[in-house]
Amino acid sequence: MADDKDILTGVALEDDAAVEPKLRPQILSEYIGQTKVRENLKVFLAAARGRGEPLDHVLLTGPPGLGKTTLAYIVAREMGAGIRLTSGPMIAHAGDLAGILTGLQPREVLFIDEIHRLSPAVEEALYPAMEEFRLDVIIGQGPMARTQKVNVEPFTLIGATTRPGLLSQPLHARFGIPLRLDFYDVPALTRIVERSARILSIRIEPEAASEIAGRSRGTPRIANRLLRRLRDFADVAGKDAIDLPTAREALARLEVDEHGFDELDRRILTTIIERFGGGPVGIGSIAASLGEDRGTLEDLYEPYLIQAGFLQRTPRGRIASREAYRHLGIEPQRHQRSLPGTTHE
Amino acid sequence: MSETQGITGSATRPLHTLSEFVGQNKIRENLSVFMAAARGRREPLDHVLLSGPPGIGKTTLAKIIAREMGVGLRSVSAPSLQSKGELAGILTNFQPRDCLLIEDVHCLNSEVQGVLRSAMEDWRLEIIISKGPMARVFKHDLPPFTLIGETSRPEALSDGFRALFGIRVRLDPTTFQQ
Repeated sequence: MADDKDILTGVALEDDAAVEPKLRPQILSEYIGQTKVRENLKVFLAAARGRGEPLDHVLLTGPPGLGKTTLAYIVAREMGAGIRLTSGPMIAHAGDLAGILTGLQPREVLFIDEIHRLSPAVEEALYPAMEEFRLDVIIGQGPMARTQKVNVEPFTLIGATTRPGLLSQPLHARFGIPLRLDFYDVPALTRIVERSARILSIRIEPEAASEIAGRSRGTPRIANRLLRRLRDFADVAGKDAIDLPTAREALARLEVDEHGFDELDRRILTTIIERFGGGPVGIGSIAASLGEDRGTLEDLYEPYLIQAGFLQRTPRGRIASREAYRHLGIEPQRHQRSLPGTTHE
Repeated sequence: MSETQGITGSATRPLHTLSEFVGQNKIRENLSVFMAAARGRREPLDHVLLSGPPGIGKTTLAKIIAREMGVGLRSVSAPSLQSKGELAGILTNFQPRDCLLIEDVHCLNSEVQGVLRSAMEDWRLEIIISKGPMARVFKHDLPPFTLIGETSRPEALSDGFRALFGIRVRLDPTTFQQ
């Protein structure tokens, strides 16, 4: 008990409480990659600022880890407004949404992550708020129930989703600025790694930075995580900088291969090839065979495998491409000589 | 044994040090690097997500991590962590670099998860007090800590939450080498 009393005083004075500086870029010009998105956003921001209006509602889509939350922070900052963060599953009732919306300051940004998981009732309540900055609150019950219109401050809604296909059409249509984030190319990721290294005061050689970039599945979040782990390896090895050999060895020990595939990526491909003769096979069968969740495969793994050309998605199911065979060192069967894209349909 | 260790390990639990954690060689080596580096920088270990089937040694590993880092460990199971206040109570009582083990972390309710996320990211407690127009945000700085999340269903975690774990350890029966 006596110990417990002292603890609160220990909060701020420790040197190690020096919190890791933020890796997220704060303003749009610091943002690396996604040129098209950045350029467009710059125009929209300038125009909205010029008119003194809140920015139109923004829908950010794309695989996880590409910077959707970061962009939301940037929009708020560039508009000189505050930001509130929440997520679809956290808003359980229309009443919760009303609470959030009525608490907003003028021109504030409301960020809703996983917006495809909003319940239909909440979504319905969101429409008038998005269109006319007005909420319809139902007061009373039964025959006495009536709707009361409540005005809310003009705000910008930023919705983020990894699965735009699950978003209802009416909600989709209410976003004036839909932005799609794509996987980053290696040069952009290299610059991100170098920038993060500077912020974390890690010395990294350019070849090592591009090695990390090449193995990060086009995803800055993964690149930053790998960088932190590689710093651990370099620290323990007593090196004052991450060089290429250190990077290679550490990445091997982390079982991240030259395409950035981890164990599950490789298992997906081997399963398709060895158990299902290379496909076509439905995603449900792959998931069942791996004992993994179908959503995990579709959201987290498949997008990059498809983008990198190892997997093809066809109406009949998933097919492992020639690249996949080559990568895994498996010889295609004779009847598979004509693998996609030259396939016999 | 301090009371924060909780369960008294049976004789078969390889409880004491990482080097006694039999099998899972690669995991052991990598973890010891991450821990040595964190200790060297006098930082808390990055948040750890331990996944794998029940009974494979996740809890044991969490205890070893806390012991090797030389910090306290507090363990709770997600279904019993029902309110934000409870979580706030635990976190505000931490010593810097202490570990919080949450078992079945995929079962956290979304409210508690929301609070936990801002604590993990910014060492900051943000709790919305009251509801409706009276709602306001209460902010409090926290000592830096390590969250050790334990789950048999990592896919049930949302992307944003999973992303906050810088170290992911997947314990898998096939990686055991006798």
